Amino acid sequence: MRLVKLLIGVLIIAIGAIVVVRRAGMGGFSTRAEPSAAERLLARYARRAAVPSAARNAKNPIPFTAQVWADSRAHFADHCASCHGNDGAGKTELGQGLYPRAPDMRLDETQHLTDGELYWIIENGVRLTGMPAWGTGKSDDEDTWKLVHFIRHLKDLTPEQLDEMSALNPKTPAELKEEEEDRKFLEGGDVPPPAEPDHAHHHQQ
Amino acid sequence: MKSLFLSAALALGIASAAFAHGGNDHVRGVVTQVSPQSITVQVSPKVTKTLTLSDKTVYKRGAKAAQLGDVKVGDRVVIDVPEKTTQAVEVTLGSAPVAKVAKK
Repeated sequence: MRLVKLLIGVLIIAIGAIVVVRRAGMGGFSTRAEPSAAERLLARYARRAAVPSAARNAKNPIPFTAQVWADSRAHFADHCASCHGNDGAGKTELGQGLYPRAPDMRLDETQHLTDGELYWIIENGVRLTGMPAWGTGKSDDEDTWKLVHFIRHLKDLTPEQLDEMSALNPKTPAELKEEEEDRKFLEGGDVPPPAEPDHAHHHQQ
Repeated sequence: MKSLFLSAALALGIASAAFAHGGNDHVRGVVTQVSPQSITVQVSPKVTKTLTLSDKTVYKRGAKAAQLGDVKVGDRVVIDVPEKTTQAVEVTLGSAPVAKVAKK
């Protein structure tokens, strides 16, 4: 049985190597490419395999309260939304430029993960993706457990809560300047319209 | 075995197909025309821009929700538009008094 698994693994690597060589000859690689179904399947398997079984079965020790909900929204807006978006859909410039894409965490693919798996992924990251390790790897980080609650309640976010989160998103000096100009303009201030009407503005969904 | 599959995932993690750039354009101007289907704003003395409205377009005045009916000619607005499209996804209305817009 062990030999069969080994052979299957070698076969997968061989196929992968062929794909790599062919792609390289066809003009290189780009993260703009859409991951294939096989890649997504393998990546999901690899992600699941990376979590120790003891960690997978861990239960969230933090009770869900209104304060936890508020804390987790603020934390997520500041640390996670640049890639995942405030609503967890992953429809951000960074999230959609990653390979694989930042997932829509509202969907079953993420919601079917156990609390322990979500915690582990936040704490330890996911290799070969854009997901970094945010914690120390210990199992008792309250802020991380609060984020697990946040992910579980993504579908409960209201437009008002999303607006509050937008105000907490990290911003570049250029974005802050643009926001200030927008505010002045909307209040009737004498802000000249931009010479180029279509200047880029990267906002969180 | 886990590391074997991780290696396989790495090897296969490099296939391709094109994908659009993200981010939104930001259009700031004064409303010159508005209908349920579109909104036209003057973005500079000689430039106007017409954007498409839909059921999914979100309207706001400050932090409060607004609606299409709140948008009047002469209003100052800031509109979020996905790059390379003319679809208005969010229209933020100003609090300034409505400006007089010369009829064409």
